[in-house]
Amino acid sequence: MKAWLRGALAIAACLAPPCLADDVSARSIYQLAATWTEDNGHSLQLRELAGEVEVLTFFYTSCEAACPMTVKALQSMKLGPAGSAHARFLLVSVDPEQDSPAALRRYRRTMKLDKDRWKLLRGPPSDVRKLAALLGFNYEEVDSGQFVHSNLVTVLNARGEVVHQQSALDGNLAELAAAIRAARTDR
Amino acid sequence: MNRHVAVPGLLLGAFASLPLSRAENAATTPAAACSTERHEVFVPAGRYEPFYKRAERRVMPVAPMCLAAAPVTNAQYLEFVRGHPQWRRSRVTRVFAEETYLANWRDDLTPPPESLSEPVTFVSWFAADDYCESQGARLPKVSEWERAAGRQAAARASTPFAMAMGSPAADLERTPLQLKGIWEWTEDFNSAVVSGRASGAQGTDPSLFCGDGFRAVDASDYAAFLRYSFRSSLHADFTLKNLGFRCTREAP
Amino acid sequence: MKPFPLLALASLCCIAPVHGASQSSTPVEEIRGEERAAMTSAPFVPPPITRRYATKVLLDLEVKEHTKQLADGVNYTYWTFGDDAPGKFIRIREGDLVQTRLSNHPDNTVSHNVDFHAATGPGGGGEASFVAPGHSATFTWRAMRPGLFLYHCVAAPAGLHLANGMYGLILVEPKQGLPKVDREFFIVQGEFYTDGAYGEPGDQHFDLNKAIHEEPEYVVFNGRVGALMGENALRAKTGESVRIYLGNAGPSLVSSFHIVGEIFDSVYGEGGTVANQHNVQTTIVPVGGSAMVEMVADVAGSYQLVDHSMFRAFNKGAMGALQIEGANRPELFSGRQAEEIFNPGTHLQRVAMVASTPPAPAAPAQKSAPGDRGHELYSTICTACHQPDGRGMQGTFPPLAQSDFLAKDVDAAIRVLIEGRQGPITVNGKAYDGAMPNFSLVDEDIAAVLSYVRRNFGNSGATVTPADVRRVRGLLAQASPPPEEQPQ
Repeated sequence: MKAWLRGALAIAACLAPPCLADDVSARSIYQLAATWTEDNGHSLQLRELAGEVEVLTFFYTSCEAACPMTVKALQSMKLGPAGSAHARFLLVSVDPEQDSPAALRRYRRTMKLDKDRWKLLRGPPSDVRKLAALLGFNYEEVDSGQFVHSNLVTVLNARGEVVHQQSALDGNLAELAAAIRAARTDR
Repeated sequence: MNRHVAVPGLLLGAFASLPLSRAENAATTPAAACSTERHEVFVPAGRYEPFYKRAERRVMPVAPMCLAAAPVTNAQYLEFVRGHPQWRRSRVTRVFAEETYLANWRDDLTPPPESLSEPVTFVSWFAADDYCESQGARLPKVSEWERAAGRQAAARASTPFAMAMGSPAADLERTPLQLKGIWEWTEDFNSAVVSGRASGAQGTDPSLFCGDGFRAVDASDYAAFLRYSFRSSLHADFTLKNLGFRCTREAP
Repeated sequence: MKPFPLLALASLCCIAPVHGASQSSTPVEEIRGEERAAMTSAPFVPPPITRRYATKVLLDLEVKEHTKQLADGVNYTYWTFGDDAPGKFIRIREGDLVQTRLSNHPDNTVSHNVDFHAATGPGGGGEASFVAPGHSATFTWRAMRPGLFLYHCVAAPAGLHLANGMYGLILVEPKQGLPKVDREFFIVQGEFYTDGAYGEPGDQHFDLNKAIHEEPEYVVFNGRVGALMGENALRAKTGESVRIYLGNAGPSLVSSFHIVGEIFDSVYGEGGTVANQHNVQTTIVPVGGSAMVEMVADVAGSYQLVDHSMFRAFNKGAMGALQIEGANRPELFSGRQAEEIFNPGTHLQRVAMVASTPPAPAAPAQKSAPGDRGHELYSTICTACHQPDGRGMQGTFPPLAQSDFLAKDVDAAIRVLIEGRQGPITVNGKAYDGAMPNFSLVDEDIAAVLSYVRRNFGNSGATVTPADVRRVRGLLAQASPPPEEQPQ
């Protein structure tokens, strides 16, 4: 709650985005001013996520191989009881046209994604492109609804700074888990 | 353009230069819909064959567009920076532009006086993207840029860099479309297919470097190799000496 | 240094972790300390490694695009690691961990990277090091195998980067080191594809058409014409052992490396770690590969280094020099000892004469018997000059037919066949001046052929016997010291 209020105050205090708030540093990607829609219909600004470690990856609901595998890998990561309780995941759709909030809800049900820990986001294509550019994530729509893309998972610390990136599909989940734990201790 | 505009965005819009309304550009022919005052060139519908082959080799249609005849100049960018203080060099957000942003400007509002009508460089993709948006336009996609200007230059080029510039498509020869000896940002420069970070293969794309020859549609088009190779080395926050941009918008 | 680009790169590299447990089956030596990489400009190499452990080597390479001289009056825009083509020679040890930072100067026009043939990992580092101008990238690789390796830019299109000069050599010494030698040098062969012809002055530019057809205008050692000539020639002293590290950056042509007047005592074929051949005149250096050659500078003098594809050496610049200084060793190589006129006289003239003279008048049939040795000898030795009918050639070869010389003095005739004859002679009232070789015939043959001639060709004379020949030999021996054996 407090973070949300602070975020809203920070926005109102700005003449124009992006601007620096106390909890968002110069290297934070939360400086990207964009409004996202969650699968439950709520609007979200990235800076509202400040204060917690986030694990972000891109996907689209009709992705048949790499995306489900990545999600499964993230779910299976061994973070320890405390870590699992606090792990927060962001899935951002690269196909907002197909991935309506309803489609995202279906995906959440199918993949059994915990409401408290997983957020599914959609946003305008230009904002998706900007967020991907910030993170070095590459993707291209090669056919209607079909994308070629990298398999990048990004760990953001509490300030929204990128602290670790890797593929979740190269067998190094332990490394990813260690990076998440390290980000949590560095508040 | 389909955008969600947040409160700050509305405030921003109040300060930004307003894009020309469509009504002002109502015309009887598509070509006339492009603005000569804004020095746009009408690019008819065309085709683009991706330089690197895919499993399913597809020729993509390219919609008609009003493409800027020349890259954005220092003078034009100065106007933008005046109206968008967040893009002044002393205030720019570091994640959106690296340390060399506008390195050749004397200060926030002083481009090099001898280069006012030369292309602005040392600008990042985020800066270019925001500029085009402020004009009611956007960066061209790779497919659009290549369709318009990716033709192999007929004359022998003096350097590989000059070679890489390409030249206007045959149907654009009579237009004022100019290439100005700089690399240009594209909207989707970070497309998977030209980058070593492509998915599909397990891990890295082995064809990116030595294996390029037989994956390319035309292995003798070294200019295209250089353009695609260069794009794949970019990050969105890069600000380089010889990298600028131009904008485009769909032709009505 | 921003963390996330570095991490992004690290996440995409497929290099196995080098700390702690190794994921590969190759045992990994422990790393001790760190030092800056030993590097030198052509043609010299850093001194041999003396440490007996693997270390972390810090290697900084900067890419420059700049105009330099390719040949006299000829400029080219080189793309180089450091200041020159070839880039510096890097010397490390097997097992070293090489932390490489590749920097692309902000004034450069295109993106570059580096592929170490000595590295095991995707692209040899090509992907991990790919950088736009004004940026640098760092990656670390382990020198798992010893040998002499090329390093070069492999950004697309790779041939262009190679053809513009982005290459160098890196030596990974085996753990036990290489045998000690007195002098070491390195040479990298490379080609340039200029739009102008070889030697055409001014600023020259890359010609794609020539490159695709593998037809360079320049094939040079160490990046330019004359890099190893004149005052830049390699130098050694007699008695010194010399090792040359060879590289071939191509991008098209295999090299046949040869030192004129020298033999390689040992060749480490293809730059591997075994001296797998000895006593080699010319060794192949594959494109994108290397070789090491060793020799001892035995004989003082000037030695050309060439790619033995000779038109490259003469017409495209693939030539260098090695100056060996020291005392002469005539017992190994004398140099020019003697000079004299050589005139075997007749071979070519015989042919010409036969072709141009009109057909001989019918000669009386020669009297010969089957197995007649005299006839056989005459046919093989004498007819060329004296003709089958014995008429000789005007001015040069006297006739044997009805010869007053033969009739007058049989001993003189025998002497001619013993010694040969040079200088003027008058036969049948006409002067002749030629040279008749000494055919070194044995006495029996002299007797046989002389007898044959004296009973044919309109001559009449008694048979000559071997005893007659011996008698004349004895007379000649008394008259003067025994002549030296004529060379056969």
